[in-house]
Amino acid sequence: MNYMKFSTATTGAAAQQLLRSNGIVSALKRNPKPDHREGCTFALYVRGDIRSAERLVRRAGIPLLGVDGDDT
Amino acid sequence: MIYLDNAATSFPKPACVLQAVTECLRCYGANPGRGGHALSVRAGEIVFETRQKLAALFDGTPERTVFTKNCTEAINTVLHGVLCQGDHVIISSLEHNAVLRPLEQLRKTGEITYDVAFVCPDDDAQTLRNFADLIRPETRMIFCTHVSNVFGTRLPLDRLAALAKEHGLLFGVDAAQSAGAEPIALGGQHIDFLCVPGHKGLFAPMGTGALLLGGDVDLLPLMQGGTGSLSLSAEQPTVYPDRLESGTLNLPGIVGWHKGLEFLQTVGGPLAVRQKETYLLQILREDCAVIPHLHLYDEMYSGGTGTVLSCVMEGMHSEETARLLDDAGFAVRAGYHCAMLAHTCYDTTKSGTVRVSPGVFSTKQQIKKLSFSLNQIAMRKKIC
Repeated sequence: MNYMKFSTATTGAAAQQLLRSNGIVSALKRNPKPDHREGCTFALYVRGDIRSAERLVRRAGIPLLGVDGDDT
Repeated sequence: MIYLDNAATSFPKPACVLQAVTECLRCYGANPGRGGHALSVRAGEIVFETRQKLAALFDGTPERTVFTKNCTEAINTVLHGVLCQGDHVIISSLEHNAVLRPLEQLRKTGEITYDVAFVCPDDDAQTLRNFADLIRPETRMIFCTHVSNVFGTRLPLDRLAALAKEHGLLFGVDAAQSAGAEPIALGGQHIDFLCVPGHKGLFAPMGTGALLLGGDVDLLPLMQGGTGSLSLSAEQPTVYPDRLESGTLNLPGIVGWHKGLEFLQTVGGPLAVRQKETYLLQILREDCAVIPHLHLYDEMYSGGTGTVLSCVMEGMHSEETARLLDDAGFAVRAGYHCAMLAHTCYDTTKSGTVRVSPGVFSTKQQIKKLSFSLNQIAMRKKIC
């Protein structure tokens, strides 16, 4: 499953709130594959089209580290 | 015991706060924002919801709502985190030591200078001129209390914010006494830094406070350490709120705050709280007006007061009056209320003041009992 990566729990939660208000279901977890340059980060798993969710988050100005997936 | 010391901390806390804190400690007291397990996620969710509620109450944003352990820590975070070598700050003559002492330390180490603008309780325009007269090229910030913790004097926040904006200055507010009892809007009132306690008018347990950031100013953190984020970097994160929140958060306190904020809405919000407390203090004022030897420090205000009332029994130190009231079953605060400037301003450094601060659970009957006891103390003094 694909997820968006955030550097903090708060920015991840803010993105989750934004998606919820747009009818998109998501779940905030620790990033299962943290980048060794970043250390602990957070993953927002999105049910549905991750790219449109990403666009919403970027448009709202919530700092996003990128998109990744469990199967990548 | 009749509790009338809500300006120190609100008591009792609402039952829903007690229940929420107990449930948290019993059922999901995991470290928020650290682990990836369900309990940590649940804890993290409630922390974020509390940020959202605070941001909604004060017109801020959750990402720039920083938890601190109290209002004093929030104030220190601003003053130590923003001010640079050579900066000048203007504060009011009613500041708490939470504002005065950090500035005095910065002044003594040669980093900054500050001036104190005299607050004219009956003349907001003059107060404003007093602030304006102190502005100089190196002035960086106006920082002031919203409501005096000793005398209840309310400062003209909107006009001071406009003055700061006009001169390109930062504007910080100590809302220790007004958060929960006065409407405050970070964005709407052009406030850059809003410092609030959780445990007073917002009904949280002690050990809770917050700094709400209105602008985009970057602050140097008071502390550095683990934030649960970007852990492989030796540098403190630049992203808020993590930048200013090192170490484990006070989850039980924040959970209690979450419920306290809901409780505030169930009683009608800040305006309803102010209305009730003002009503109770008005009863006290009317009763006290006929008590001999009792001097009230509020008759000169034109702009209305906050929800505390200070008084002094002539010829008696305030601590003695408070002790007699304690014997009679009343919890009030006496002495100097950690506010040297305010007592100098009102010339009460000799006796201090007895401060009465009702809360949402206070009743008219309790206030009537207090004025009866004050009268008894005054009559005894007369006989002696």
